Amino acid sequence: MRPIDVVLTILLIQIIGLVGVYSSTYTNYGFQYGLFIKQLIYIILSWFIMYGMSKIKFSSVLSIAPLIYGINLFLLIAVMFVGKTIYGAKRWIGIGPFGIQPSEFMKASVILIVDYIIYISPYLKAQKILYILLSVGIPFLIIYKQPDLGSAVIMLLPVMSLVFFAKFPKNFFRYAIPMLVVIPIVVWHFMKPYQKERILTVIDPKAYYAKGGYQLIQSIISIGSGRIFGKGFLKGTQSHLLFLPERHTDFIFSVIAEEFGFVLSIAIIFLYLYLVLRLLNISYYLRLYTEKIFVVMVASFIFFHSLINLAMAMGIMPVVGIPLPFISYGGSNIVVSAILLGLCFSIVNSHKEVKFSLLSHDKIINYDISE
Amino acid sequence: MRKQSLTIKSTRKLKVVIFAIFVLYAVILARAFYIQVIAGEDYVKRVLADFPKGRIIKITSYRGSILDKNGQPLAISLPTISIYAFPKFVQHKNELSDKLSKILNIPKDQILNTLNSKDRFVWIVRHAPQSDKGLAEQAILDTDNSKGVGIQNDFKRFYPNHNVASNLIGFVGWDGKGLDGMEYALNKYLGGKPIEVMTIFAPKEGKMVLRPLSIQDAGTQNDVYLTIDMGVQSIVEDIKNKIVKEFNPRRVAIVVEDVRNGNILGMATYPDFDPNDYYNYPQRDWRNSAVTDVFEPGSVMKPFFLGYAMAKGYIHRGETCNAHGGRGDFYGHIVTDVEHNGILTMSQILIVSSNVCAMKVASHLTREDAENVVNLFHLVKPYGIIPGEQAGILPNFYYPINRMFATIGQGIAVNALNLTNAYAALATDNLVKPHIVRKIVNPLGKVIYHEKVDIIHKDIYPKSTIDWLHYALEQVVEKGTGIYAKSNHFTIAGKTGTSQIFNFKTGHYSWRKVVAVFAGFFPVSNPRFSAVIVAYDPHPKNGALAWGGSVSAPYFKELVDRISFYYALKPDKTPQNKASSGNNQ
Repeated sequence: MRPIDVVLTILLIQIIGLVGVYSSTYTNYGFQYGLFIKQLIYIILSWFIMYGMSKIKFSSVLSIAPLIYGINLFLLIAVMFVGKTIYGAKRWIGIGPFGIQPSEFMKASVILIVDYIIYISPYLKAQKILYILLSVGIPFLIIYKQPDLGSAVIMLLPVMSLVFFAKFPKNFFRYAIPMLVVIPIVVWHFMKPYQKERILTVIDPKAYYAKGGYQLIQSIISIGSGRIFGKGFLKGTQSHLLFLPERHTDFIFSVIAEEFGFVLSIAIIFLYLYLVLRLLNISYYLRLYTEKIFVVMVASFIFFHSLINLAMAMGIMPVVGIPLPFISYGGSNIVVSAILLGLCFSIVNSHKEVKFSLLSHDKIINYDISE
Repeated sequence: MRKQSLTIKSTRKLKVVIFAIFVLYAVILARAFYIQVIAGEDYVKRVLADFPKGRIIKITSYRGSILDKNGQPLAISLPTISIYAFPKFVQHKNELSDKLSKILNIPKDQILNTLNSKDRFVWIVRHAPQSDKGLAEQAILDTDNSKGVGIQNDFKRFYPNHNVASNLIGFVGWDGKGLDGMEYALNKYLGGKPIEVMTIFAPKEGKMVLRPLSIQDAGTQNDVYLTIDMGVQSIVEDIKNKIVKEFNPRRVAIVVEDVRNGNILGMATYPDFDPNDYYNYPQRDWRNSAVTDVFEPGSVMKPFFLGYAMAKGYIHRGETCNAHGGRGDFYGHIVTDVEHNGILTMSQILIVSSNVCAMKVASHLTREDAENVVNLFHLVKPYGIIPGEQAGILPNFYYPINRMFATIGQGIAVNALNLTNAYAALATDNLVKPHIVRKIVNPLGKVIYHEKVDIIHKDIYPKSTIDWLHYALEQVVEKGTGIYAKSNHFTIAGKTGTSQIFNFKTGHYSWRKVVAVFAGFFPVSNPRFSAVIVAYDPHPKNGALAWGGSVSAPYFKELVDRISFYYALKPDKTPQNKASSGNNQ
């Protein structure tokens, strides 16, 4: 399990998350042990997954990417018919006391399949781009129909971040950019008014307030009332006394920020920042393109999840159902994050130790040139 | 080589990406800093204002009581209910209005109009009795309106004594904040600031109350004990009403003070109002004219200046003064006495209230002397204990004529409170700060403030001067202009005062319109109380001219007798005493 600093960062984030889940499921009427115990099980499970993944060869996982993707797509379609409807959206498939959310797993599957498509060389040809668009576009539409626009968009973002790292054909941008401008206009034209409205409300948060943004306002009150040092563990009246929906999942940050104040808000942001930068740092030293791209997409996954969730909880982004990785309650989210990071551990562990320790910049350059 | 160049190129891209990551996380961090450290509730309110179904409702909270000296309630908070509605979501409006109008005794049309309003949020009724709550709840349930109509518990200020001491106590507004009188002055201690409750209305769930925002800001609700004694207050209120009935004056102010500690025991004013529905009275009736209105006090000023002249040695007890038949010419101003006085002793100047001789004595006073008198007795400066205290008006003491006129209470204006306290100082020779708040008790029963005797000026005049003043002022009541104030049981030292009201329209002193004043203290043998009765522009029934001695003095006697009886003072007028007072002089 290397690098150890990433392990520690994840552990710290998870501990904050456990405290938050404990606090947010604690009410004046009694404590719902069930949710906390479940979360504890998920966290322990996540370490088994990460440890297990780190022992598997990344290339062998990558080689079965189409299979994983296929099964996941099947589950996603199955949700449309047998899924449980919660809060007006069909997202879950029940398995005993647990429910899995195929759209969460799809986030990982898409990363793997995109990595698989650009398996051989970093140069993206038109054909490859088409495959990528198809493999991302189909689940996007299904998730969008659930409806869960937030998850659909966040599934795209790691793939889109490849623009900074992949190699495109020379004329790619010459065609792609006009297309990017024209296609939305055409699609917009053919959309029905309620669909347009749905998109507009996501773009304009103030309009979204009108659609029942009391979570958001309560979230802001909670966060604001935490002040610098917070009210103390289990002292956050806001989240305990009143009904803050999703307080243990998407809005867990407001519970934590209320009880522990700005001090822990900084800590959470810095932990995510460190995790993201460290993953990018690792990717920088990877020479195998699939590995490099994969780690970048995982970094992007963590980055966008944390960024959008925090921004949403503080009212500078529309309210969308995006969990905070390793902090929000929810098995699917934790397992998916564990799988992705576990594969990163596997990539790191398959290389020589010196390469990925902190502050080993010069050595790596030498290593590159000498080869 | 190729690989290396790729690395270098991706290094540049990586830098851009890392920069972007830093910037985006910095935005989040700045946002958290703003919400958690800088902003606070105002920001939350602004967020709510953007929300179409959000609303900040002000709810009146519990407010501490105002009690009299002995704990009798003057102003208390009663629990009430208010009913609100989101008109857009109200069903069966007709039926609902019908039911509510029967329960709340409000015209049905009024409720219906409220419900038909285009506003997002309306109050159907505010501060209805708590006993109606059950019925109102049932009416809301019966008409299936539990999602559009709701009941909020709140508090209402109630003044059990209605008009009694109303101008002093003041009142609170709709939102529970004191707007006038002691209610206003004591806002900080009584608490009961409106609590702002943030509500968001969602049609499915009904009202959702977010956290009451400023529950701490409602303050600690302390009980305030005034120095007012309801026993004394009801006596002076009764006397005030009698004066109003008999003389129909424009204003009346009566103040009673305990000379030993400066406690204001009673303060009655006319016009008054009922604080329970203050809004039905014209605004001028809200004024506490005992402090907000200054008047030219007339002859009640004489003792202060004459006493000063004697203390300074300008005059002596044995001296006499020629009043020249009650007519004098001072720098071209003709001043007359009421009677054709001849040679007068110093005491007689006060007893018959000779303006001519008082002004002659005043001719000895320097500018500094006149200022000293005003300062020693704190005649014009507000004490700042009751809201609206008006500072007195002084003439320019540079001119001797102004010093003389000030001696007979002209060209100088004071308010009743300052005058009462100045007479208390004549009684004890010490000027103490008057008090209106006796103590403040916090909800745990701990006394957080208690008035204590605060002597501003000690031993103002020498003992001999004070003795002389006590003697002379007692004689004023025994056989002088204040004879109508003479009591059979108690010795009273007092002075009448009558001053013409200056008519700003004509620029002259009005002959018929006067301020009739009586100021004094009692019992003389061991002064306990000082009091002032001011009747502004009284109209005696038979059309006679109004005088301090005819209008205010008789009621001063009643005041003395009743208050002394209330406090069970021993009558200090024994038969011997009566006889001796007759022989004296």
